[in-house]
Amino acid sequence: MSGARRLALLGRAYLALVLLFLYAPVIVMALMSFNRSPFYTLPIRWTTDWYVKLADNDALIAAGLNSLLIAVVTAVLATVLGTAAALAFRRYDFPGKRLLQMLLLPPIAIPWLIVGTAMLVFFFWIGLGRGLHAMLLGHVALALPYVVVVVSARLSAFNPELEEAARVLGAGPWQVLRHVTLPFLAPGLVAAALFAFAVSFDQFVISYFLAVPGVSTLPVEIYTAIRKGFTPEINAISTIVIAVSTLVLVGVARVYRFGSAR
Amino acid sequence: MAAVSVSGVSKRFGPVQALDGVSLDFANGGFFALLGPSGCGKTTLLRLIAGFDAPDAGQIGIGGERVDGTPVERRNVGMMFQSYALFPNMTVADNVGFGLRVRSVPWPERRRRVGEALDLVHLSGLGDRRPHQLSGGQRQRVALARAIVIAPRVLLLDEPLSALDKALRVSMQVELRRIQREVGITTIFVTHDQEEALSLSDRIGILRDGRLVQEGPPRALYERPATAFAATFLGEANLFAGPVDGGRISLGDGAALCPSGPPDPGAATATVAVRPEKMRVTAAATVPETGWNWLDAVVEQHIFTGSSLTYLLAWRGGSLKVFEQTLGEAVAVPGEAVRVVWRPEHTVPVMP
Repeated sequence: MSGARRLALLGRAYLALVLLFLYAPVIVMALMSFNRSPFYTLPIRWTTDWYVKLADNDALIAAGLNSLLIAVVTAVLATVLGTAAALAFRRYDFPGKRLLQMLLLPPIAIPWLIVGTAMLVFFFWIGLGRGLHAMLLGHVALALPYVVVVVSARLSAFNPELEEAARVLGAGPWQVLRHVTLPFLAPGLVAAALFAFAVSFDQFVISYFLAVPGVSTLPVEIYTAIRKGFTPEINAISTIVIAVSTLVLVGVARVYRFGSAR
Repeated sequence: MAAVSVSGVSKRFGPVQALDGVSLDFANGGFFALLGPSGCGKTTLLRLIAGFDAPDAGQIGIGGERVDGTPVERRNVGMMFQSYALFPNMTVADNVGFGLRVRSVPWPERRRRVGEALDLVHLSGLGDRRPHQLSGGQRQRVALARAIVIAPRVLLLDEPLSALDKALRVSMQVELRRIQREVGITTIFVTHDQEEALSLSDRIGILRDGRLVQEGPPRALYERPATAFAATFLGEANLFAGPVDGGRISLGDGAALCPSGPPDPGAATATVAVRPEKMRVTAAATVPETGWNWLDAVVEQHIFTGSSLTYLLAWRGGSLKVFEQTLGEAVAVPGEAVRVVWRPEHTVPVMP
């Protein structure tokens, strides 16, 4: 066997391993959500009972809807605010601009446990307390830097003469934004919104700290459920979440062909 | 009445004085070139007229109306950018129709006018394409159609041909001139290419370091440059300087040049410019015609370029250039001593 072929084979084996570690746990979980036995026993005896039971689990469903609501609102708010910030950074020079740009990045690196503790203390101190509104505030703050970074990256490829051309043709500032700048940014905005959605939907620590009994998010609820005792309903809801997010991402990737030149 | 008038306009960017007291009138329906080296302020002037920047001093009028406080989008000017700046997310027809759309022109009229504009630039049938599916020349035509479809009061072109290759550039020059004549729109055209300025425009304004050096029709500027810079930037020129002696410019050794007009009466020294094609290379010791200027030089090089011949001559440690038509006559060879002769009326006094 030649060296090149051996190398190619090694590469494939490596790829297979990476994919295995990434996807095997998820696939096992999805399979077990259809298994009659709650104890992962093989062979699999197919059932949809866990999904039927899940439909009756009001706590999980409510938490799932909360998660969805917070994630969608976070995605919208963070994308709007973050895009405005990215545009301002690009367009204007103002005192403190460099400092502000620098301040954007540390929250990405600070452990969520610390940010979450800080938020909990701070929100109580200013009288905001805990609850859905506090979680939403925390999530938007957390997602904002990601949006600014993603939108700024897209914006750096923007030819400012396009805006000038639109203005000289008679378009006012809002028309320029709507017809020229935003359409160009669209792929970046979708990516940024997805990021924000994911940051919020995945968020456990901050949600856990800011949740009040009875109003929690899916990750918090799953964690609480597991502490009480694992049930295959967790597999079922997790499988639904995985299926939905995979479908959304594949759809978006098809529309915008990430990574390829348009 | 002037379509655009600029009076006493100055603009400073930080330490750079981009424009310094420039006054210019752009006649209605004319094709005006702003010519100068990079950094001379020509693009700044164009952007001030468009309204992207405001002048520090002076006034700008469009169609007899002061526009100082008018924002870009309400000046009703057409502008073509160096990058063409076509909107990548829109089709060709939507690009061209953008100015009408933001003016809320109803759809049927919009469609008709976009069709006419695309006809004018010979792009009918390509309305459904996207900008990235077009060639460089086609993109330029789209940009032009988009700029003129709104019937602007003035068309501003910022180095519109610089991104095209030479052959395409020449054909676009002809095209640009045709379209400008057909539409009859006042056009201001920024370029650093003197040949382009000469061949396209009715009038040329030469800018240098933010100041207007000279302004006039191409022929007049070429034949009667006012300064040494204008003489050498617009075409080529041989410059001679020396003390004024009895209305003649002394070159020393008893040689003296007779200028086309009296030099500045107060000045002790004067500079004259002579175009290379106005000079003739003759055999050494040829007796020049009465009144002609002459000097003796040595051929350094001759360069054959087909229809013409360029002589590089050594003269007093400097170098002269002479263009001659190739008429099949004897050619002076390098090292040969020659006499260069020319008419006094081609000896133009210029400011140094």
